[in-house]
Amino acid sequence: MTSTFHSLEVGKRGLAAQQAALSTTGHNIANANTTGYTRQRAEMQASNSVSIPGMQIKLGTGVDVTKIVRLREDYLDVQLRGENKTLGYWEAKSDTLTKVEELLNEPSDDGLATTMDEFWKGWEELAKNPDSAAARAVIRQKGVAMADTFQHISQSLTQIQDDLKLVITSRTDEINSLATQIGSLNDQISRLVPNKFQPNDLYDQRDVLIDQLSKLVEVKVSPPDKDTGVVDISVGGVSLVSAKGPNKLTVGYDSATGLVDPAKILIGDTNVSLNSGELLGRIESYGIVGGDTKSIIPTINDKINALAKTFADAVNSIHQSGMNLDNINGVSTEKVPFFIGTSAKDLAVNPKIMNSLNLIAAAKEDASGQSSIGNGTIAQEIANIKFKPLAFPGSSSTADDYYRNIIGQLGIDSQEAQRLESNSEVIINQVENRRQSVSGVSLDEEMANMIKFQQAYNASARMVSVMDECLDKIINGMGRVGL
Amino acid sequence: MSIRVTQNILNQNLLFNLQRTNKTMDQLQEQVSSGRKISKPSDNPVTAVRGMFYRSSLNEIDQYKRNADDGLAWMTVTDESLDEVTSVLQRVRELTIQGTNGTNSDTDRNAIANEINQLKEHLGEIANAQIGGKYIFAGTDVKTPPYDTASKQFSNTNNDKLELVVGQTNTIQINVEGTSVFNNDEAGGVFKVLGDIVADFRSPNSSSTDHLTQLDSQMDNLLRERSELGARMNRMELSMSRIEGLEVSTTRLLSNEEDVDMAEVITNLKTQENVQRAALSVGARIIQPSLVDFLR
Repeated sequence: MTSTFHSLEVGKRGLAAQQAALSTTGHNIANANTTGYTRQRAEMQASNSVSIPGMQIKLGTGVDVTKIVRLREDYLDVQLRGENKTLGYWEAKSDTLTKVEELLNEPSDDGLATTMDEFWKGWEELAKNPDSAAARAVIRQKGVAMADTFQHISQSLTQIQDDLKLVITSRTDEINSLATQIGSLNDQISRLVPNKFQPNDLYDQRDVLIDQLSKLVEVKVSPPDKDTGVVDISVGGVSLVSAKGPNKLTVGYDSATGLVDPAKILIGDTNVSLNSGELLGRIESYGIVGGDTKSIIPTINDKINALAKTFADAVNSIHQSGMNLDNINGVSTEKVPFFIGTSAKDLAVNPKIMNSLNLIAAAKEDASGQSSIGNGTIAQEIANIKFKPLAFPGSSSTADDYYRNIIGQLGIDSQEAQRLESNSEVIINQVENRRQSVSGVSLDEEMANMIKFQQAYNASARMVSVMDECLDKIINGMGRVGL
Repeated sequence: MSIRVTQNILNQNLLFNLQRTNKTMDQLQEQVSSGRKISKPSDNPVTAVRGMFYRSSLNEIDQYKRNADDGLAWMTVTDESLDEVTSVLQRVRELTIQGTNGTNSDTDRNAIANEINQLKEHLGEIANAQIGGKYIFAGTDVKTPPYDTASKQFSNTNNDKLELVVGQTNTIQINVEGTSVFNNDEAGGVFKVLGDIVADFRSPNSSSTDHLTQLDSQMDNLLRERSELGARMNRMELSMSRIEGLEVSTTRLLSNEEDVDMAEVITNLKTQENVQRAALSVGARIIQPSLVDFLR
């Protein structure tokens, strides 16, 4: 025979368990839209049965909530984080490449290519009218437009690079701040887990931070420690967060070139080589020592500088072989270059020409060292540079061709970056869906559960009432026969 | 395991797909409003580079056209001047024939000499013909009058050619060298011949008969120069029509590369609009109801 109060106890346990499950449901509903929230479930288990003396049976004693579990699949986290770093990397690169494309503004009627065409046309006009001061003024202005365009491109590239430097700094700060936050969560968790608490919501917060971190750098996350629940995070094999706390990531620059020095990317004091992630994408966009063509801005900058220099040299060498009006009129024998400067940054029309149109050489010297005002042969020769292969670093092509190559290569690089970025986006969306499918809160499900638990709660309460009535019968109704 | 679908998944998928249709719509709308297939090289690197090439070709062609126009103008003025020279020489020839007629009195001969002298002066003016402030018979010495009005001589000795580029490998000379028209024998040329006739008619007794021969030789020389100029003008006109043909074909190539097919783009845009409309209306239905709506 069991205790009279046994069933009352069973009812009470039922009430407590259903209430716990109801609050878990409530918690889930409340967090339906919380970023990174993992749905939880109260795991119920029949509590230990008791043997009844004299009877060959075991009687159930009701229910216990053994734990509240997070419904999460670790493999999906690994997959998402792996793709996240790729997304971050290509997002950063395509961002920079798109900016450069916008800056160069090709193909259009007002990019460098058109300015260059206009410049050649100016010389053609001068070749036709070498005596005309107007034609001279026009070619001078077109020269200024050419130099301005080169300078504008160069300055804007520098501007983009400066911005990137700021972004690198802020991303580094972000990584360090995330590492610190993960470290402090680790710390809180390590104080709860040994005492048999289950800090589910702290786990969620930590996972969100790790997700954010995984977009910035390639992270490797160790499985949580069994005793303390602490996770270790390493970047490129070097520990960023461990049980001892977070380390600091720093990015250093090469003093000679101003580019990022891969030997000066450190975590703590240890050199780390980045493989992927937004930080690397930004660093490569900015320029990294030994990065070769992966360094976006320096590569474009070098090419534009080579174009400016080779172009100016070609014009100058022919210009200086010709005779200007002062030479023809015997005023002076000085022959000046048309452009000064050796790179896109400092290219300018010779200030002497800015002062005197007479110094523009359009005429070719004859055998006797003379020429005449109507001779436009040199102007024509300069105009013909358009079709002449020039010696660019690594290739011999016309200036037009070289510039078209720059644009073509830029277009291909940018297209690749955008394609890989959108691929990653699609994959991440799919993985995120899978993760939501496992961990996300479904309101339908929660509502159904809510009804289920509510009904079970009601039934347990009824059970208590029934036992109450039974006890009432025993206590107040027994032994009062005939009264 | 079947996929468990939550409201958030529906939400997220709807947003993701709406984002994609929006992006496509944006691209299509940009194509419609700009009329161009691409706005950045990365939209299609091959098209971008080809477009740049054709654009540059069109710029060249534009310049060649202007060159050809200018050249033709120059050559037309030259031809007109040479035509006038021809008329002058013909009149001089008539007068010379009249003058050498033995029935003329001294007064008559003087009058003829005066007229020929006037014609010689006129010839000097023709030799100093200008276009846009430039002497057309002066070679490259375009700012100095080739005919010296003081010494009444064709003093220019500049034989340089003026050439215009009307194609990458096509250069056409536009000027007629003044010396070969007005000083072909390098001994005074047509001015000397006319001067001799005038002097001859003014002196009462002398009567030389080789004037006509000399005049005819000058006339021959002039016709030779004119026919050569005519041939060059023909070439220039041929080049001009070739350049115009090239302009049409290059413009078409550029348009093929860069311009959108409006019918196609607008159709695509409409299709995208329908897709988006459908997605939105379905979204509105999927997202709203949940069990919450039905539990009281």
